[in-house]
Amino acid sequence: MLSIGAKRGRRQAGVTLVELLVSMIILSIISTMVIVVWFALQSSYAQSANANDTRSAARDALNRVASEIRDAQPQTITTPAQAPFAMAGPTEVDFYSSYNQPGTAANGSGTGTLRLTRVYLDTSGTSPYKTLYWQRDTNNNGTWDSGDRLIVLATNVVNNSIANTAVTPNTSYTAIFTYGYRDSNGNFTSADTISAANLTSIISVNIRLIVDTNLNHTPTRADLQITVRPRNAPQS
Amino acid sequence: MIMRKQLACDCGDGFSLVELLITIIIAGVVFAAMVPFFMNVVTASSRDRVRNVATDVAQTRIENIRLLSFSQLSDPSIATNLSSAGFANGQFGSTYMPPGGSSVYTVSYSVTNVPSTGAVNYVRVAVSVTTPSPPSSPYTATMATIVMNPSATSNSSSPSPSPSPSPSPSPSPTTGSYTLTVMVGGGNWVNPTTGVTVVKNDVTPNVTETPSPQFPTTTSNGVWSGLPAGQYLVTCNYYKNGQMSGPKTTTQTVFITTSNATISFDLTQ
Repeated sequence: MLSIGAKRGRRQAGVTLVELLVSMIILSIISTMVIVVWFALQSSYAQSANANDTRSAARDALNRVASEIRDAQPQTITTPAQAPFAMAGPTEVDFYSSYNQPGTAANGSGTGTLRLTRVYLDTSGTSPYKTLYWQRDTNNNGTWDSGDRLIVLATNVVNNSIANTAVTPNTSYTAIFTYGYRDSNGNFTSADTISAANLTSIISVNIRLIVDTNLNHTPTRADLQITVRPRNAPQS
Repeated sequence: MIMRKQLACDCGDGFSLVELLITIIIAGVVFAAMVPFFMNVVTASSRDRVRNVATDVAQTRIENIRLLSFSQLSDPSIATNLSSAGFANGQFGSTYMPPGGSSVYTVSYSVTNVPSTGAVNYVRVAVSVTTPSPPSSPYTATMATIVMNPSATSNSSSPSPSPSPSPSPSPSPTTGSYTLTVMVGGGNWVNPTTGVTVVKNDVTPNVTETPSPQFPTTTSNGVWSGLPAGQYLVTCNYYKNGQMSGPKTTTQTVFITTSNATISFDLTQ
Protein backbone atom coordinates (compact mmCIF):
# COMPACT_ATOMS: atom_id res chain seq x y z
CA MET A 1 0.00 0.00 0.00
CA LEU A 2 2.63 2.39 1.05
CA SER A 3 4.73 1.84 -2.03
CA ILE A 4 1.75 2.23 -4.35
CA GLY A 5 0.60 5.39 -2.58
CA ALA A 6 4.03 6.93 -2.69
CA LYS A 7 4.35 6.10 -6.34
CA ARG A 8 1.03 7.69 -7.21
CA GLY A 9 1.85 10.74 -5.12
CA ARG A 10 4.99 11.33 -6.94
CA ARG A 11 3.52 10.85 -10.38
CA GLN A 12 0.36 13.00 -10.22
CA ALA A 13 -1.60 14.78 -7.56
CA GLY A 14 -5.10 15.04 -9.25
CA VAL A 15 -7.85 17.05 -7.55
CA THR A 16 -8.84 16.66 -3.97
CA LEU A 17 -12.41 15.97 -2.97
CA VAL A 18 -12.74 19.50 -1.59
CA GLU A 19 -11.59 21.04 -4.84
CA LEU A 20 -13.97 18.85 -6.77
CA LEU A 21 -16.87 19.84 -4.52
CA VAL A 22 -16.13 23.52 -4.75
CA SER A 23 -15.90 23.38 -8.52
CA MET A 24 -19.13 21.38 -8.72
CA ILE A 25 -20.97 23.89 -6.60
CA ILE A 26 -19.72 26.76 -8.71
CA LEU A 27 -20.54 24.89 -11.90
CA SER A 28 -24.05 24.19 -10.68
CA ILE A 29 -24.54 27.87 -9.85
CA ILE A 30 -23.43 28.87 -13.31
CA SER A 31 -25.53 26.24 -15.04
CA THR A 32 -28.55 27.26 -12.98
CA MET A 33 -28.08 30.81 -14.20
CA VAL A 34 -27.80 29.65 -17.79
CA ILE A 35 -30.88 27.49 -17.47
CA VAL A 36 -32.90 30.30 -15.91
CA VAL A 37 -31.98 32.61 -18.78
CA TRP A 38 -32.78 29.86 -21.25
CA PHE A 39 -36.22 29.29 -19.77
CA ALA A 40 -36.90 33.00 -19.67
CA LEU A 41 -36.10 33.27 -23.36
CA GLN A 42 -38.16 30.18 -24.10
CA SER A 43 -41.20 31.51 -22.31
CA SER A 44 -40.76 34.92 -23.88
CA TYR A 45 -40.72 33.30 -27.30
CA ALA A 46 -43.76 31.17 -26.52
CA GLN A 47 -45.58 34.20 -25.23
CA SER A 48 -44.83 36.30 -28.27
CA ALA A 49 -45.76 33.46 -30.63
CA ASN A 50 -49.01 33.00 -28.74
CA ALA A 51 -49.66 36.75 -28.80
CA ASN A 52 -49.10 36.82 -32.54
CA ASP A 53 -51.50 33.95 -33.08
CA THR A 54 -54.19 35.51 -30.95
CA ARG A 55 -53.69 38.89 -32.53
CA SER A 56 -53.88 37.55 -36.06
CA ALA A 57 -56.97 35.49 -35.24
CA ALA A 58 -58.62 38.60 -33.85
CA ARG A 59 -57.55 40.58 -36.90
CA ASP A 60 -59.11 37.95 -39.15
CA ALA A 61 -62.34 38.18 -37.19
CA LEU A 62 -62.27 41.95 -37.45
CA ASN A 63 -61.75 41.85 -41.20
CA ARG A 64 -64.53 39.34 -41.61
CA VAL A 65 -66.96 41.48 -39.63
CA ALA A 66 -65.82 44.60 -41.47
CA SER A 67 -66.43 43.21 -44.92
CA GLU A 68 -69.85 41.87 -43.93
CA ILE A 69 -70.97 45.14 -42.41
CA ARG A 70 -69.63 47.04 -45.39
CA ASP A 71 -71.80 44.91 -47.68
CA ALA A 72 -74.91 44.93 -45.49
CA GLN A 73 -78.07 45.75 -47.45
CA PRO A 74 -81.50 47.08 -46.49
CA GLN A 75 -84.13 44.37 -46.29
CA THR A 76 -86.29 46.06 -48.88
CA ILE A 77 -85.62 48.87 -51.32
CA THR A 78 -87.83 51.79 -50.44
CA THR A 79 -87.92 55.55 -50.70
CA PRO A 80 -86.66 56.96 -48.44
CA ALA A 81 -84.04 54.25 -48.10
CA GLN A 82 -84.05 51.93 -45.13
CA ALA A 83 -81.05 51.18 -43.00
CA PRO A 84 -79.19 47.92 -43.60
CA PHE A 85 -79.15 47.55 -39.83
CA ALA A 86 -81.76 45.99 -37.59
CA MET A 87 -80.12 46.65 -34.26
CA ALA A 88 -77.10 48.65 -33.15
CA GLY A 89 -75.71 48.11 -29.68
CA PRO A 90 -72.28 48.11 -28.04
CA THR A 91 -71.82 44.33 -28.13
CA GLU A 92 -74.20 43.36 -30.91
CA VAL A 93 -74.97 44.54 -34.40
CA ASP A 94 -77.79 43.05 -36.48
CA PHE A 95 -77.96 43.62 -40.21
CA TYR A 96 -79.23 42.11 -43.42
CA SER A 97 -76.61 40.42 -45.49
CA SER A 98 -76.25 38.10 -48.43
CA TYR A 99 -72.56 37.73 -47.77
CA ASN A 100 -71.46 34.17 -48.61
CA GLN A 101 -75.05 33.22 -49.33
CA PRO A 102 -75.71 30.91 -52.29
CA GLY A 103 -76.19 32.98 -55.44
CA THR A 104 -73.87 35.75 -54.35
CA ALA A 105 -71.05 36.49 -56.75
CA ALA A 106 -67.51 36.61 -55.51
CA ASN A 107 -67.51 40.38 -55.64
CA GLY A 108 -70.54 40.58 -53.36
CA SER A 109 -73.06 41.31 -56.10
CA GLY A 110 -75.72 38.90 -57.28
CA THR A 111 -79.01 37.59 -56.09
CA GLY A 112 -78.01 35.89 -52.86
CA THR A 113 -80.88 35.75 -50.43
CA LEU A 114 -80.79 38.38 -47.76
CA ARG A 115 -80.80 37.01 -44.27
CA LEU A 116 -80.78 38.71 -40.94
CA THR A 117 -77.26 38.35 -39.58
CA ARG A 118 -75.73 39.37 -36.33
CA VAL A 119 -72.33 39.66 -34.77
CA TYR A 120 -72.52 39.56 -31.01
CA LEU A 121 -70.52 39.02 -27.89
CA ASP A 122 -71.80 36.28 -25.65
CA THR A 123 -71.88 38.21 -22.40
CA SER A 124 -73.19 35.35 -20.27
CA GLY A 125 -71.09 33.83 -17.51
CA THR A 126 -68.69 35.37 -15.03
CA SER A 127 -65.43 34.80 -16.86
CA PRO A 128 -63.90 38.02 -18.18
CA TYR A 129 -63.04 36.16 -21.38
CA LYS A 130 -65.94 36.30 -23.79
CA THR A 131 -66.51 34.86 -27.22
CA LEU A 132 -67.56 36.80 -30.30
CA TYR A 133 -70.05 34.98 -32.50
CA TRP A 134 -71.44 35.38 -35.97
CA GLN A 135 -74.97 34.10 -36.46
CA ARG A 136 -77.24 34.07 -39.49
CA ASP A 137 -80.96 33.39 -39.50
CA THR A 138 -80.49 30.72 -42.14
CA ASN A 139 -83.93 29.13 -41.60
CA ASN A 140 -85.46 32.60 -41.91
CA ASN A 141 -87.90 32.14 -39.06
CA GLY A 142 -87.15 35.53 -37.55
CA THR A 143 -85.67 34.25 -34.30
CA TRP A 144 -82.23 33.25 -33.21
CA ASP A 145 -82.44 29.54 -32.62
CA SER A 146 -80.51 26.32 -32.96
CA GLY A 147 -81.46 26.07 -36.62
CA ASP A 148 -79.29 29.06 -37.43
CA ARG A 149 -75.72 28.94 -38.49
CA LEU A 150 -73.39 29.95 -35.71
CA ILE A 151 -69.68 30.60 -36.02
CA VAL A 152 -67.12 31.54 -33.41
CA LEU A 153 -65.26 34.60 -34.64
CA ALA A 154 -62.94 35.35 -31.76
CA THR A 155 -62.24 34.10 -28.28
CA ASN A 156 -60.67 35.69 -25.21
CA VAL A 157 -62.42 38.97 -25.94
CA VAL A 158 -62.18 41.19 -22.88
CA ASN A 159 -64.04 44.30 -24.08
CA ASN A 160 -66.70 43.83 -21.43
CA SER A 161 -64.34 44.07 -18.48
CA ILE A 162 -62.36 47.11 -19.62
CA ALA A 163 -63.71 50.52 -18.76
CA ASN A 164 -63.66 53.23 -21.38
CA THR A 165 -63.00 56.71 -20.05
CA ALA A 166 -62.70 58.32 -23.46
CA VAL A 167 -66.44 58.41 -24.07
CA THR A 168 -69.01 60.58 -22.36
CA PRO A 169 -70.47 59.32 -20.12
CA ASN A 170 -67.71 56.86 -19.20
CA THR A 171 -68.65 53.23 -19.57
CA SER A 172 -67.64 50.22 -17.52
CA TYR A 173 -67.06 48.36 -20.76
CA THR A 174 -65.37 49.18 -24.06
CA ALA A 175 -67.91 48.97 -26.82
CA ILE A 176 -67.08 46.57 -29.64
CA PHE A 177 -69.30 48.52 -32.00
CA THR A 178 -69.37 52.32 -32.06
CA TYR A 179 -71.59 53.99 -34.60
CA GLY A 180 -70.76 57.22 -36.36
CA TYR A 181 -73.48 59.61 -37.44
CA ARG A 182 -73.95 63.28 -38.19
CA ASP A 183 -75.52 65.49 -35.58
CA SER A 184 -78.05 68.20 -36.35
CA ASN A 185 -75.25 70.52 -37.48
CA GLY A 186 -73.86 67.95 -39.90
CA ASN A 187 -70.88 67.25 -37.66
CA PHE A 188 -69.54 63.77 -37.15
CA THR A 189 -70.06 62.21 -33.77
CA SER A 190 -70.47 58.73 -32.39
CA ALA A 191 -72.39 56.59 -29.92
CA ASP A 192 -72.32 52.93 -29.00
CA THR A 193 -76.08 52.52 -29.18
CA ILE A 194 -78.41 53.76 -31.90
CA SER A 195 -82.14 53.50 -31.33
CA ALA A 196 -84.26 51.61 -33.84
CA ALA A 197 -85.79 54.85 -35.11
CA ASN A 198 -82.38 56.34 -35.92
CA LEU A 199 -80.70 53.40 -37.62
CA THR A 200 -80.80 55.17 -40.97
CA SER A 201 -78.50 57.88 -39.61
CA ILE A 202 -75.55 55.50 -39.18
CA ILE A 203 -72.70 56.38 -41.54
CA SER A 204 -69.92 54.30 -40.07
CA VAL A 205 -69.22 51.47 -37.69
CA ASN A 206 -66.05 51.40 -35.66
CA ILE A 207 -65.25 47.89 -34.53
CA ARG A 208 -62.88 47.51 -31.63
CA LEU A 209 -61.77 44.16 -30.33
CA ILE A 210 -59.64 43.84 -27.23
CA VAL A 211 -58.30 40.33 -26.79
CA ASP A 212 -56.07 38.93 -24.11
CA THR A 213 -53.01 37.44 -25.73
CA ASN A 214 -51.45 36.09 -22.57
CA LEU A 215 -54.02 33.89 -20.89
CA ASN A 216 -53.36 32.81 -17.31
CA HIS A 217 -50.45 35.21 -16.99
CA THR A 218 -50.14 38.95 -16.68
CA PRO A 219 -52.84 40.27 -19.00
CA THR A 220 -51.44 41.54 -22.28
CA ARG A 221 -54.13 43.07 -24.40
CA ALA A 222 -54.18 43.50 -28.13
CA ASP A 223 -56.38 46.43 -29.04
CA LEU A 224 -57.50 46.16 -32.66
CA GLN A 225 -59.74 48.61 -34.43
CA ILE A 226 -61.21 49.06 -37.85
CA THR A 227 -63.70 51.59 -39.16
CA VAL A 228 -66.21 50.61 -41.81
CA ARG A 229 -68.45 52.72 -44.00
CA PRO A 230 -71.43 50.55 -44.91
CA ARG A 231 -71.80 51.22 -48.60
CA ASN A 232 -75.57 50.79 -48.58
CA ALA A 233 -76.26 52.99 -45.58
CA PRO A 234 -78.62 55.81 -46.59
CA GLN A 235 -76.45 58.64 -45.28
CA SER A 236 -73.04 57.41 -46.41
CA MET B 1 -1.25 9.83 7.18
CA ILE B 2 2.23 9.93 5.79
CA MET B 3 0.92 8.90 2.43
CA ARG B 4 -1.73 11.63 2.47
CA LYS B 5 0.80 14.28 3.38
CA GLN B 6 3.00 13.15 0.57
CA LEU B 7 0.06 13.34 -1.77
CA ALA B 8 -0.92 16.82 -0.71
CA CYS B 9 2.45 18.44 -0.86
CA ASP B 10 3.77 16.68 -3.88
CA CYS B 11 1.16 18.27 -6.02
CA GLY B 12 2.46 19.44 -9.39
CA ASP B 13 -0.58 18.62 -11.52
CA GLY B 14 -4.31 19.43 -11.48
CA PHE B 15 -5.98 22.78 -10.80
CA SER B 16 -5.63 24.47 -7.51
CA LEU B 17 -8.61 26.19 -5.92
CA VAL B 18 -7.05 29.56 -6.67
CA GLU B 19 -6.74 28.72 -10.34
CA LEU B 20 -10.31 27.57 -10.42
CA LEU B 21 -11.52 30.75 -8.77
CA ILE B 22 -9.63 32.87 -11.25
CA THR B 23 -11.19 30.91 -14.08
CA ILE B 24 -14.63 31.44 -12.64
CA ILE B 25 -14.05 35.14 -12.21
CA ILE B 26 -12.96 35.43 -15.81
CA ALA B 27 -15.98 33.39 -16.95
CA GLY B 28 -18.20 35.65 -14.85
CA VAL B 29 -16.78 38.72 -16.50
CA VAL B 30 -17.42 37.20 -19.92
CA PHE B 31 -21.00 36.34 -19.00
CA ALA B 32 -21.54 39.79 -17.56
CA ALA B 33 -20.35 41.23 -20.85
CA MET B 34 -23.05 39.24 -22.62
CA VAL B 35 -25.87 40.56 -20.45
CA PRO B 36 -26.30 43.79 -22.47
CA PHE B 37 -26.88 41.70 -25.59
CA PHE B 38 -29.73 39.87 -23.89
CA MET B 39 -31.11 43.15 -22.66
CA ASN B 40 -30.96 44.49 -26.22
CA VAL B 41 -33.06 41.61 -27.48
CA VAL B 42 -35.66 42.18 -24.79
CA THR B 43 -35.76 45.93 -25.43
CA ALA B 44 -35.99 45.48 -29.18
CA SER B 45 -38.92 43.15 -28.84
CA SER B 46 -40.73 45.55 -26.56
CA ARG B 47 -39.92 48.44 -28.89
CA ASP B 48 -41.42 46.61 -31.85
CA ARG B 49 -44.58 46.03 -29.86
CA VAL B 50 -45.11 49.69 -28.98
CA ARG B 51 -44.33 50.74 -32.54
CA ASN B 52 -46.99 48.38 -33.82
CA VAL B 53 -49.46 49.85 -31.41
CA ALA B 54 -48.55 53.40 -32.47
CA THR B 55 -49.09 52.52 -36.11
CA ASP B 56 -52.43 50.89 -35.32
CA VAL B 57 -53.57 53.96 -33.43
CA ALA B 58 -52.51 56.32 -36.22
CA GLN B 59 -54.36 54.21 -38.76
CA THR B 60 -57.54 54.16 -36.72
CA ARG B 61 -57.47 57.91 -36.20
CA ILE B 62 -56.92 58.47 -39.92
CA GLU B 63 -59.90 56.29 -40.74
CA ASN B 64 -62.05 58.27 -38.36
CA ILE B 65 -60.77 61.59 -39.69
CA ARG B 66 -62.01 60.59 -43.10
CA LEU B 67 -65.51 60.39 -41.65
CA LEU B 68 -65.56 64.02 -40.56
CA SER B 69 -67.55 66.37 -42.70
CA PHE B 70 -65.52 68.71 -44.86
CA SER B 71 -66.79 71.77 -43.02
CA GLN B 72 -65.46 70.26 -39.80
CA LEU B 73 -62.10 69.56 -41.40
CA SER B 74 -61.63 72.99 -42.93
CA ASP B 75 -62.66 74.73 -39.71
CA PRO B 76 -59.62 76.66 -38.40
CA SER B 77 -60.07 75.10 -34.96
CA ILE B 78 -60.04 71.55 -36.25
CA ALA B 79 -56.60 70.73 -34.84
CA THR B 80 -57.74 71.88 -31.40
CA ASN B 81 -60.99 69.96 -31.77
CA LEU B 82 -59.21 66.76 -32.73
CA SER B 83 -56.97 67.06 -29.69
CA SER B 84 -59.87 67.49 -27.31
CA ALA B 85 -60.99 64.34 -25.59
CA GLY B 86 -64.70 64.92 -26.06
CA PHE B 87 -64.66 65.52 -29.81
CA ALA B 88 -66.93 63.07 -31.70
CA ASN B 89 -67.47 61.40 -28.35
CA GLY B 90 -63.98 60.14 -27.70
CA GLN B 91 -63.03 59.01 -31.19
CA PHE B 92 -59.99 61.33 -31.20
CA GLY B 93 -58.06 63.14 -28.46
CA SER B 94 -54.41 63.86 -27.77
CA THR B 95 -53.60 60.61 -26.01
CA TYR B 96 -54.06 56.91 -26.38
CA MET B 97 -53.96 54.62 -23.39
CA PRO B 98 -53.76 50.90 -24.17
CA PRO B 99 -56.53 49.01 -22.39
CA GLY B 100 -55.29 47.90 -19.02
CA GLY B 101 -51.98 49.66 -19.57
CA SER B 102 -50.48 52.66 -17.91
CA SER B 103 -48.10 54.12 -20.49
CA VAL B 104 -49.62 56.89 -22.54
CA TYR B 105 -49.11 57.40 -26.26
CA THR B 106 -49.17 61.01 -27.40
CA VAL B 107 -51.23 61.83 -30.47
CA SER B 108 -50.88 65.07 -32.38
CA TYR B 109 -52.70 66.32 -35.44
CA SER B 110 -51.68 68.66 -38.18
CA VAL B 111 -54.29 69.99 -40.58
CA THR B 112 -53.31 72.00 -43.63
CA ASN B 113 -55.75 73.72 -45.93
CA VAL B 114 -54.73 73.76 -49.58
CA PRO B 115 -54.56 76.44 -50.79
CA SER B 116 -53.91 78.13 -47.49
CA THR B 117 -56.02 81.16 -48.35
CA GLY B 118 -59.28 81.50 -50.20
CA ALA B 119 -61.47 78.61 -51.22
CA VAL B 120 -60.09 75.31 -49.93
CA ASN B 121 -59.61 72.58 -52.50
CA TYR B 122 -58.58 69.92 -50.06
CA VAL B 123 -57.19 69.46 -46.60
CA ARG B 124 -54.20 67.40 -45.68
CA VAL B 125 -54.39 65.82 -42.25
CA ALA B 126 -51.40 64.18 -40.60
CA VAL B 127 -51.60 62.14 -37.42
CA SER B 128 -48.46 61.53 -35.37
CA VAL B 129 -48.44 58.98 -32.59
CA THR B 130 -45.45 59.00 -30.27
CA THR B 131 -44.68 55.91 -28.24
CA PRO B 132 -44.20 56.19 -24.51
CA SER B 133 -40.67 56.14 -23.22
CA PRO B 134 -39.23 54.11 -21.55
CA PRO B 135 -38.84 51.24 -22.46
CA SER B 136 -37.06 52.65 -25.47
CA SER B 137 -36.47 56.05 -26.94
CA PRO B 138 -39.70 57.54 -28.27
CA TYR B 139 -40.72 56.66 -31.79
CA THR B 140 -43.25 58.62 -33.80
CA ALA B 141 -45.50 56.99 -36.36
CA THR B 142 -46.98 59.50 -38.76
CA MET B 143 -49.74 58.94 -41.26
CA ALA B 144 -51.40 61.45 -43.50
CA THR B 145 -54.49 61.61 -45.63
CA ILE B 146 -56.04 64.06 -48.04
CA VAL B 147 -59.72 64.92 -47.98
CA MET B 148 -61.10 66.68 -51.03
CA ASN B 149 -63.58 69.49 -50.76
CA PRO B 150 -66.73 67.99 -52.28
CA SER B 151 -67.84 71.44 -53.43
CA ALA B 152 -64.50 72.62 -54.80
CA THR B 153 -65.06 74.38 -58.12
CA SER B 154 -61.51 74.19 -59.36
CA ASN B 155 -59.52 71.07 -59.86
CA SER B 156 -56.46 73.03 -60.84
CA SER B 157 -54.62 72.06 -57.71
CA SER B 158 -55.88 68.57 -57.18
CA PRO B 159 -53.68 66.66 -54.77
CA SER B 160 -50.74 64.88 -56.20
CA PRO B 161 -49.84 61.51 -54.76
CA SER B 162 -46.47 62.81 -53.67
CA PRO B 163 -45.86 62.50 -49.94
CA SER B 164 -45.88 66.22 -49.34
CA PRO B 165 -48.27 67.91 -51.69
CA SER B 166 -47.45 71.56 -51.38
CA PRO B 167 -48.66 73.21 -54.57
CA SER B 168 -46.65 76.35 -55.06
CA PRO B 169 -48.64 79.51 -55.54
CA SER B 170 -49.34 79.98 -59.19
CA PRO B 171 -47.14 82.72 -60.68
CA SER B 172 -50.07 84.44 -62.30
CA PRO B 173 -53.25 84.03 -60.33
CA THR B 174 -56.22 85.02 -62.38
CA THR B 175 -58.21 86.78 -59.69
CA GLY B 176 -57.55 89.93 -57.71
CA SER B 177 -57.92 93.64 -57.94
CA TYR B 178 -54.81 95.78 -58.03
CA THR B 179 -53.83 99.37 -58.71
CA LEU B 180 -51.22 100.56 -61.19
CA THR B 181 -49.75 104.00 -60.58
CA VAL B 182 -47.83 105.79 -63.35
CA MET B 183 -45.61 108.72 -62.40
CA VAL B 184 -43.82 111.07 -64.78
CA GLY B 185 -40.65 112.95 -64.04
CA GLY B 186 -38.61 115.69 -65.66
CA GLY B 187 -41.47 117.94 -66.78
CA ASN B 188 -45.15 118.04 -67.66
CA TRP B 189 -44.64 117.02 -71.24
CA VAL B 190 -47.09 114.15 -71.68
CA ASN B 191 -48.74 114.33 -75.11
CA PRO B 192 -52.08 116.05 -74.42
CA THR B 193 -53.84 114.00 -77.11
CA THR B 194 -52.54 110.46 -76.86
CA GLY B 195 -51.33 110.51 -73.23
CA VAL B 196 -50.50 107.32 -71.35
CA THR B 197 -52.31 104.06 -72.10
CA VAL B 198 -52.36 100.75 -70.27
CA VAL B 199 -53.05 97.57 -72.23
CA LYS B 200 -53.35 94.09 -70.75
CA ASN B 201 -51.43 92.14 -73.36
CA ASP B 202 -51.36 88.63 -71.95
CA VAL B 203 -54.87 87.96 -73.18
CA THR B 204 -56.25 87.71 -76.71
CA PRO B 205 -57.54 90.13 -77.75
CA ASN B 206 -55.59 92.63 -75.70
CA VAL B 207 -57.63 94.72 -73.34
CA THR B 208 -57.13 98.48 -73.05
CA GLU B 209 -57.75 99.39 -69.46
CA THR B 210 -60.01 102.34 -68.80
CA PRO B 211 -59.68 105.17 -68.42
CA SER B 212 -57.08 105.42 -71.19
CA PRO B 213 -55.45 107.64 -72.07
CA GLN B 214 -54.64 109.47 -68.89
CA PHE B 215 -52.46 112.52 -68.62
CA PRO B 216 -50.27 112.33 -65.55
CA THR B 217 -48.22 115.34 -64.49
CA THR B 218 -45.31 115.72 -62.12
CA THR B 219 -47.76 116.50 -59.34
CA SER B 220 -50.62 114.19 -60.32
CA ASN B 221 -50.05 110.53 -61.10
CA GLY B 222 -52.05 108.44 -63.52
CA VAL B 223 -53.88 105.72 -61.67
CA TRP B 224 -55.53 102.59 -63.05
CA SER B 225 -57.42 100.63 -60.43
CA GLY B 226 -59.39 97.39 -60.35
CA LEU B 227 -56.85 95.60 -62.53
CA PRO B 228 -56.68 91.82 -62.47
CA ALA B 229 -53.24 90.31 -62.09
CA GLY B 230 -51.36 89.82 -65.31
CA GLN B 231 -49.01 91.45 -67.78
CA TYR B 232 -49.53 95.07 -68.88
CA LEU B 233 -47.94 97.19 -71.57
CA VAL B 234 -47.80 100.84 -70.50
CA THR B 235 -47.25 103.30 -73.35
CA CYS B 236 -46.28 106.88 -72.68
CA ASN B 237 -46.52 109.47 -75.48
CA TYR B 238 -44.66 112.68 -74.71
CA TYR B 239 -42.55 115.49 -76.07
CA LYS B 240 -38.95 115.26 -75.07
CA ASN B 241 -38.11 118.34 -72.97
CA GLY B 242 -41.32 119.91 -74.24
CA GLN B 243 -40.08 120.16 -77.82
CA MET B 244 -43.30 119.92 -79.82
CA SER B 245 -41.43 118.91 -82.92
CA GLY B 246 -40.19 115.69 -81.44
CA PRO B 247 -43.09 113.48 -80.27
CA LYS B 248 -41.72 110.39 -78.62
CA THR B 249 -43.08 107.12 -77.32
CA THR B 250 -41.69 104.91 -74.62
CA THR B 251 -43.12 101.72 -73.18
CA GLN B 252 -42.75 99.62 -70.09
CA THR B 253 -44.03 96.15 -69.38
CA VAL B 254 -45.42 95.60 -65.89
CA PHE B 255 -46.22 92.28 -64.25
CA ILE B 256 -48.83 92.56 -61.56
CA THR B 257 -48.90 89.43 -59.43
CA THR B 258 -49.82 89.85 -55.82
CA SER B 259 -49.58 93.54 -55.10
CA ASN B 260 -50.17 97.02 -56.50
CA ALA B 261 -47.53 98.36 -58.91
CA THR B 262 -45.93 101.75 -59.47
CA ILE B 263 -43.80 102.77 -62.45
CA SER B 264 -42.34 106.05 -63.59
CA PHE B 265 -41.29 107.59 -66.89
CA ASP B 266 -38.48 110.08 -67.32
CA LEU B 267 -39.68 112.56 -69.92
CA THR B 268 -36.24 114.09 -70.44
CA GLN B 269 -34.97 111.01 -72.29
